[in-house]
Amino acid sequence: MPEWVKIVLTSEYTWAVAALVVAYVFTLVGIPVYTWLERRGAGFIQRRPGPNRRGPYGIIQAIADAVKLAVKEDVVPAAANKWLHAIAPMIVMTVALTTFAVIPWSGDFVLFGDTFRLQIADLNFGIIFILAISSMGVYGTALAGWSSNNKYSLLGGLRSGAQMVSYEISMGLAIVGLLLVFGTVRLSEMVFQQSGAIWYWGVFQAPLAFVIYMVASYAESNRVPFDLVEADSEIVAGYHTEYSSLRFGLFYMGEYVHMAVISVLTVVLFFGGWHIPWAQELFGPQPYAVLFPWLMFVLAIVFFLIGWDASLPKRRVHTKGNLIMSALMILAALGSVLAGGLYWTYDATNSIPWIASLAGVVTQLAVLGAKFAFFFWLFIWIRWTMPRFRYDQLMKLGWKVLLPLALLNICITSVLVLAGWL
Amino acid sequence: MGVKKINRPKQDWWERLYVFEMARGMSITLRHAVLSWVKPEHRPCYEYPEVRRPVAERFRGRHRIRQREDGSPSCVACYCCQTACPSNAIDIVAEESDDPKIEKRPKTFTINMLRCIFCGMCVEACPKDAIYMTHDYELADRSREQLRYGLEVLMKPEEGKD
Repeated sequence: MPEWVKIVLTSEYTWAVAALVVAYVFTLVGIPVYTWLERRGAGFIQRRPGPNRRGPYGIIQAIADAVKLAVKEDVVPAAANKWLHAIAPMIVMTVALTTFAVIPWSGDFVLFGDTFRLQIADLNFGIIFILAISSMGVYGTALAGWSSNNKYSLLGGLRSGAQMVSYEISMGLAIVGLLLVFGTVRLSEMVFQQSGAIWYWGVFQAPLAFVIYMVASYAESNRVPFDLVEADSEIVAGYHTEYSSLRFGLFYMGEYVHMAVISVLTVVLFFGGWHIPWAQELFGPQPYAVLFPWLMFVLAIVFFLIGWDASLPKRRVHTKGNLIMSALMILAALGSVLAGGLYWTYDATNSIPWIASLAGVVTQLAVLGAKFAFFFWLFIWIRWTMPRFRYDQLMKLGWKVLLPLALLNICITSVLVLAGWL
Repeated sequence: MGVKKINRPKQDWWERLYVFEMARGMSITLRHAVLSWVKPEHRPCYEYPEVRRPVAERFRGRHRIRQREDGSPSCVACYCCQTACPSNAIDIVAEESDDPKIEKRPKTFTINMLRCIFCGMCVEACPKDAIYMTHDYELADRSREQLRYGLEVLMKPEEGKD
């Protein structure tokens, strides 16, 4: 192996950049996929196809929407506070993106004697950082509502302020319950403590905290059933009524990034992050490296099925996009088979340790991604199922149900931890 | 007028827990989502430009003026349809016919499709059964002028028929 590959692989900067790339894939690169998934999911739930024209399976539609937003006129109301009006969408987007800095994407892996981890910043106050940053998001929506100088926007901003503050408390207290169990606020350590049997996962250690956290985080993200902030049947579009063009686009994208943050955080806090339950017991000392060829074969089958489906004539015609998609998918399937097969034949898990480490990281990312995908789908699924809460119901749920429950949860968990049962 | 009393059904404690009823609702939506994914032919949708919705026999689309054996319009320029038209969409200019058996024929026969409300009164009024309404409904065009259909447009056969 040439010397420079070793230097690159053992450089801290390589893995910092790799963690950044992973974070970007989950946020900015993911946004078109998320919006496509939302519209397609909405369509399927409502028994219609959803966007299926632009590109294979309509996946280019999101990019077309983005281009449409970018070339639209950027209208700023004459009576608006120009400075705050401009800065509000930036706050929303920045806040949503910043929280990704502390997410641990993989476990520790050893390359030529050095230990690395895919995490941008392993802060020892990780979860507190996330709570602190994500509660800044309320400034974005409240300022957007106020600076637009529009009564509907103002109502939306007010609602957002009241709602975010109410549910922030329950969310924080639910996480306190979890902290009692784990005894740490460092996110990577919380994930490490969830290895082994499935009942070490946060959701089984603190089930009540999980329910409260889920409800509160849905309220934080301002989505159905807590979308009173933009409630289109009551207050036009709430805080972003007076926004157009890419400023509206920032709000829109910020919402999806926020959903991604909450999904990742749910996985990391409650569902074992990148862990597979009983991994060590089932697959030996290097479970993720052992599973790598299996992951590749499963991926190959998935790619092949997508490619096969894309090659079938849609609506009695073959479109060029579908055929390109099909060819790419078949190539990806072949590549996966090749990677898995080479790994298998050379027995890389035991004979080439650095390849085994990298393979383990890939598998861990895939496990995290699969869990993440479920929680992201849950957002979409709930949005197209639930009706919106009334404002008094929202406040009642926040203050009279979730807050006492969170306090009760802390009491119970403290007793259990003191008794040594957790 | 007394106050109308609505007896709303009382929710029991199970329903007021909300979470389980929510799960029930979500199972219904998931069933619909999976069904429309694995059985796209069961979606109540038409993939429009490729697949067109069949219209009812009595559907009132674009007008058509019938022709005689020799290809001339059956219309005798009696102005019945123009008189019957509630939206003043029809404009006929009559002239003397060459055929001694027929008194008049339309010199121009214009229907302004932007005014037409597709009510079918012209068809009811026509004594010669010369005008009827086809099943063509894709009538978009690029200018107002092109939407003033003259005789040659109105005598075009129906799409996919004749």
